[in-house]
Amino acid sequence: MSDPPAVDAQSLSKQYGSTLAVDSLSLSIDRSTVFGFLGPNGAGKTTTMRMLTGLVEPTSGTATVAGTAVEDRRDLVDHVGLLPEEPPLYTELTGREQLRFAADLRDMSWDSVADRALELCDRLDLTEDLDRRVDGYSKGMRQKTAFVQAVQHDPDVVFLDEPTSGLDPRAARTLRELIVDTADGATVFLSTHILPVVEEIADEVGVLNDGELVATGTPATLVDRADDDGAETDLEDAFLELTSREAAWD
Amino acid sequence: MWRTDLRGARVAAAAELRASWRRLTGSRRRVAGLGASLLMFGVFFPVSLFGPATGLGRALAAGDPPLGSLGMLTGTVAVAGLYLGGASAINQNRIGDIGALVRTSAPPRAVTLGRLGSELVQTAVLFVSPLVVGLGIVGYGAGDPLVPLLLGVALGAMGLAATFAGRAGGATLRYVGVLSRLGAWAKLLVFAVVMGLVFAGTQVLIQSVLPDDAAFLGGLGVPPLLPGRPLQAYTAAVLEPVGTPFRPLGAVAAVAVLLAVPVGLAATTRVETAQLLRDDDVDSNESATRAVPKPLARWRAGRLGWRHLLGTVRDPKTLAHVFPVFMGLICGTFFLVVEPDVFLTVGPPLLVGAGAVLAGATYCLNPLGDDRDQLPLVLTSVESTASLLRGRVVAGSVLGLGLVAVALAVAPLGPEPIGAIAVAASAVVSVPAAAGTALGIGAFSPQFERREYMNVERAHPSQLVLMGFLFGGGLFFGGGTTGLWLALSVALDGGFAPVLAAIVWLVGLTIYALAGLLGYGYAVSRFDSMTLDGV
Repeated sequence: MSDPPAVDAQSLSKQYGSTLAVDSLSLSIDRSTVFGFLGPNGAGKTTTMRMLTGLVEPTSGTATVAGTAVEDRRDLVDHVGLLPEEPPLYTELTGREQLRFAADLRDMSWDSVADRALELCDRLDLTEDLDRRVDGYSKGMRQKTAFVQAVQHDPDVVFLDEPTSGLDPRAARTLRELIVDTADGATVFLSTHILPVVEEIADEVGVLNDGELVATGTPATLVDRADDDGAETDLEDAFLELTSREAAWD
Repeated sequence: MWRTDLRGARVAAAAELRASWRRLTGSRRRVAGLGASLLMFGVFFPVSLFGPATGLGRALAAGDPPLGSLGMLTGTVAVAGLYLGGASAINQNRIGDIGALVRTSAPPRAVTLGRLGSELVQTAVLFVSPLVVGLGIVGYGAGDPLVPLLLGVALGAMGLAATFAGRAGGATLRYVGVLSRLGAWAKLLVFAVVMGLVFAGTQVLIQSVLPDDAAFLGGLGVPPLLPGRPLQAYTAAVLEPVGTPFRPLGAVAAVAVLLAVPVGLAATTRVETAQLLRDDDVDSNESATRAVPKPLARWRAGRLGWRHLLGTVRDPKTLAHVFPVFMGLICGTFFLVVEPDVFLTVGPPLLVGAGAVLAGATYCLNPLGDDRDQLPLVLTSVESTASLLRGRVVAGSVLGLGLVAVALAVAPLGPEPIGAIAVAASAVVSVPAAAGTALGIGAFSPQFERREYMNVERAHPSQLVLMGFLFGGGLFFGGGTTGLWLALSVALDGGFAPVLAAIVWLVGLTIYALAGLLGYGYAVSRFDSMTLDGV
């Protein structure tokens, strides 16, 4: 029997009062892929990620991550890693203490994750700062630390919300490489506004607009679909066309 | 320049007041709290004070003023004003919710004046209604509107003067703290020593002035030391038109009160404006990584609890909400200076009780609430919040057991060493039980919103939970522990059968354990089903 999809959502919806943040989202993402999740501000990307990581309850619909229902948080935590938009770090700890704490949260010994964590830190030029307190970190350093803690335990699916936010070009490039490397064994659910990043590293893309998934496919497919008048287009053009209210996609 | 500043101040104050009002009315719970407060002031206050207030009114109208009571009343207003002014200066959030925008849009003096104005209005709203009700009752008793009017002037002027004086004092104290560049622990130590000396000095002073058999506040008569003649004379001077005897000291006091308002305002404006332009002291962020100590490293809750202890070592402000407990401890410690015999006798059980309260109050009254920013990590990492909550119990218990260790050290010096040592041993149950109980109480109303308290902005426990645990938990664990000690002491003295003491202990410790387990169990069930929807 084949492994279940990394992410499988069926008619997933989330309503806040009278606002429908996510509307009947159905989605299936294969394992070991980088899935670029795009959408304008307020489209429902963060809400979708929160539902898929068990942080908020869907109003209706079902979803599984690595075969585990998102409501089953006890089991779900074994499969996911999350880098939210605001790095969830304890500022009074040093970077190393934070990473150890993240391992302790999962009841994993530091020794079992140290090799991977320290290698990632090394690649992200974070090693020298690991024994400094997080409250002295720049935004980029916090982002790097939060990325390491999201992947150090080798989860099946890593959810990354704007992971390159606050990073300088060199660090952003390294992180993109790390994301691709991560997808060697895991699935990366990547939410970002930086379309060239998605175009460069995503295997598949989903575009969310006003809570509805308006398109899925490879970046090239989406660009081709937008290229119907013969003019040269890229993912940005496709995104703008897909998310304009007047757009009528078939 | 003043015109620009006043305009900016008016805009900032209006925005702050609007934001405060919306915060206050933003949730049903707060509206309910507001309603309960109004009900208390509107019903409880007039009913409870009706007799004394009408009596005061009658006495004033008859030209027979109870100067002692008037002095006490004025003194109470003065102390309240000093405290509120000082606390508002020390607790201030630099510019409230509109900080960055205001700081870059208005002159610094306008910001200071705006904030002062907004806070003054909020304080006035809080106190004007009970004052008006109280004065109304006094007027009813007097049958002459001039009496409550003059009394209102006397109390209002004193309140305003004391508030400004307190604010200036608090702002100065805060600014001195910033200028000193002392670390948080050093400031805490200085504060503890100063407060202890003030407490001990007051004790010595009172004992030297009051004869041993003096009634401390002898009824409605004029007490010998408190409230002090200047306050009596001040109130009498203001009430002179209704026949109260005038004394020159009253005129001097009245002038001092009147001067305190502009002087306090000027000093506050100057100090707070200077402080606004200066960054707060920042502790060095250079810090070596510390491994979890071996006794805690052996199990997961210990490793997770270590984070709380480390956070406190690096920044004691994380314990700002247990300031009242520390104040009690400071005063208790200095009690040793004046009454060593009493301390050695009741000190150990009281320390054990305080250890239990401290264990619960430190990290367990807002479980996961103060992890608000880290919830995405925490909730996607732990299979159950139980381990996190146990970590808090461990961390709180480490601090609580520190006090128990002091009790153990003191025990051999006292008259009842066996009882003292036994009660210290009971902490093995009572301290973690208090932490578990606190978890349950805290889980009832977790606070995820950051707010300023004791100059520390974080998600503090709700005031209801905090006060409930400090008083209720203090009574339950502090009183209960003292009860256990008493039962044992009486049994050791042959007062009753040892088996009876054993039963008391068994029942007491069982109740503690059950309370702790129930609280812990409730917290786990509550937080295991929590999502960010409820945050």
